[in-house]
Amino acid sequence: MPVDLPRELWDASIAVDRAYAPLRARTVSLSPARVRLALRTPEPTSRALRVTRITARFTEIALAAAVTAFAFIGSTSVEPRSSIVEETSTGTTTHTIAAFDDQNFFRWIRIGRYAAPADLVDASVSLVSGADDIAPVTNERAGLAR
Amino acid sequence: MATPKAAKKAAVEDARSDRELVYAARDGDMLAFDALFYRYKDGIFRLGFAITKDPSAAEEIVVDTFARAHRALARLEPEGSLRPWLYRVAVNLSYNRRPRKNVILSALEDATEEVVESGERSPSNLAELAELRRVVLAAVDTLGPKHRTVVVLHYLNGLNLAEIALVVDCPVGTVKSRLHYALQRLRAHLAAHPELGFEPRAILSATRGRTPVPVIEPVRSEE
Repeated sequence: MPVDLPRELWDASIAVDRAYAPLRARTVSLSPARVRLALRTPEPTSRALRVTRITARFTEIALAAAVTAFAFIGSTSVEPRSSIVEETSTGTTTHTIAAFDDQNFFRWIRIGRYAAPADLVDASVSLVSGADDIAPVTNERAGLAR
Repeated sequence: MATPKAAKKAAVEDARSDRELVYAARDGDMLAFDALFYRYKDGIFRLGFAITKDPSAAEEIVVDTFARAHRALARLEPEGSLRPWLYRVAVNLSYNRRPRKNVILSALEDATEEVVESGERSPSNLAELAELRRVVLAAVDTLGPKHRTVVVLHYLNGLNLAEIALVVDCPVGTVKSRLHYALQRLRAHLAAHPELGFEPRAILSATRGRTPVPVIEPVRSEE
């Protein structure tokens, strides 16, 4: 007789007991070899650890992309300094070497270099198609003036 | 070298205590680990099956539980039985798996087993029993995880209150309280199905005059 169970709960208790009766007799045919096989595979990592790893990976990629973009944009938007410095006070022209930082910094990733100024040819003139059919342009060497 | 059948027989019949088996397995005795496996695999399977309602998931839970036990051999110090530790791991693994929705343990399968077991019952009687079983198990599924675990461990795995307390890691009084609450909820749920004739007298008559089996054993003092 159930000593700890109130009498009004006996019926529910018996019903649950009977409901689980078929399952109580159930067995499974498994071999310990399955466990040994499972032990050979690496232990699955927890979800939190996986999320942390993925977040770290994304952060790493984003940082690399940001540094690359910064370097690329920086290299294309800064005009290189000329090495010829006019010293107006003395009236002489001296050739100076730019500082190491100005000269070499990020030079290896300067993908988009500044094009050299077109001092000799005016592109607007020379690229006109059918130039032979029209009159010679008078300001052909206007580029020199710039 | 022993054949697989002989090795299994030796593992099944190993009479050493859990503690001795754990220490032996720690020293590399695979037969000792196999003995632990054969000793508890069925109980863990039933536990996983009752919670997940998926036999293949329950098998995986058995394998995962023992894989964890093997990895934890170095720090396992079972004072008595290893069962509470194994069941605790199995319960956690079972609840970590998303159970199938709206799947109840097959009442038809149970009814078939019942036919095989006792031929004197009429088909209508068996059908009623199967329906009652289906409703009861559905009612158990409506319980929260804490209460369901206590019910499953007690009625399916046959653990007493003290053993359940070790598994769920809470005082015996809490286990008792959860069991009472669960039974009250189940009773209310079953009372909402008058077509099943769920009344105390009906259930007691189903036992054919036998004294109901004590479902809550008095807590044994552990010595």
